[in-house]
Amino acid sequence: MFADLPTYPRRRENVEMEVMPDGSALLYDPQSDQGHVLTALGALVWDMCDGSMTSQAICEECAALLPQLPDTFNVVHDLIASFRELSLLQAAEGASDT
Amino acid sequence: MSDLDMIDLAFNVFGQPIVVRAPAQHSDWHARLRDLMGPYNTPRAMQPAELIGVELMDDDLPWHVTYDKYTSMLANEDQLLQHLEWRIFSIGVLHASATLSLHAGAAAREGKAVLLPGESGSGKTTLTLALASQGWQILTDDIGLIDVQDVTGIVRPCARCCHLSADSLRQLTAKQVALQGPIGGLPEYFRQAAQGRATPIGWIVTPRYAPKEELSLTRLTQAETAALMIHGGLRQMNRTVREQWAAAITIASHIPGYRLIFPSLDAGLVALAHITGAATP
Repeated sequence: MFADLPTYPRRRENVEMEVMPDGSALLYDPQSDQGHVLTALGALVWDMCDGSMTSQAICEECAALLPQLPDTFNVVHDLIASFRELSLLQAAEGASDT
Repeated sequence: MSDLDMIDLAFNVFGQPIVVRAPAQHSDWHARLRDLMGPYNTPRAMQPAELIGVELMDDDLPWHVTYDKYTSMLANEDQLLQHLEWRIFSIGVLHASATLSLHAGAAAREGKAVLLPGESGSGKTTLTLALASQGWQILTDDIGLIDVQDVTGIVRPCARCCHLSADSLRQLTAKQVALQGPIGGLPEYFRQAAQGRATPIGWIVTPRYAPKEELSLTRLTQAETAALMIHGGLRQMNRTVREQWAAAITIASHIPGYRLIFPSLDAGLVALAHITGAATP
């Protein structure tokens, strides 16, 4: 299930995040000049993509934090996959992955 | 052709002087363009002005319009007028001093404005103009120029002509919305009879007309609200993308945003009355 994801996802440093008062967030990628909308969960996952945790650990951590939300594990998996597809993660994985 | 054979038609759009330099002969369309531009006409060009050149060539597409490095070729005077009107407002927006500009309608009532961002074909023009039948003052139907003061977004009025289909015109006429036109001899160009003043934004609602769908009103997250303002943004030379992002984020942090899908004009008006607390039509 995690073969398509970076082992230790690490967000690109120049991608900016703006957290709104309601917990939702915007990512702005100056490289592509594109913005992306995140839910509060998406913002949490983005924050966790610092290269210190595996993708699986992030999914498990979020599922444990938010047991009331349905299917959190898979939602988080898909979020990490979308970060990767949008080239928001570093191409080379984090130092902790080596 | 010498300069003596040319005439300057001068405009000031959102503070930007613009000149259309055109042949003095074949001038039937000059007065029509002035009608279309309404309050944006000026007796003479202030400098420095942006220059649009018009030439009449011996060609299948005889009207050649040149701006910057672009040349457009048009078949007849109606096409020429439509192109010039669009080009003049595009230049005006490009140079506008507003903090943020986007495709949006807006109407004001009791000191607060509802901003209706939407793409062409979303029904925003018809819905915006229909608000006039409910006691709202129309600010704009398409170009939303917004100034941010502290944390407040203030939408400016814009007197550009509305472009209305025959069906939209029929619906608005049925609601007794006062419109002037057709203007400039163009059958789809109208202008609202009265216009409001710059007003702080109280609500942001992105509408979509969908005659086969149920009425649907969804509250947006603040990030979604900011994103839809940025998505509908118009390019401005005086504002960086970063500045426009910051403006959208500031506004969305303080103003509720909604997505409205409406199957009929009446349903859309009921939903807007519900959001804004205005009297239900």
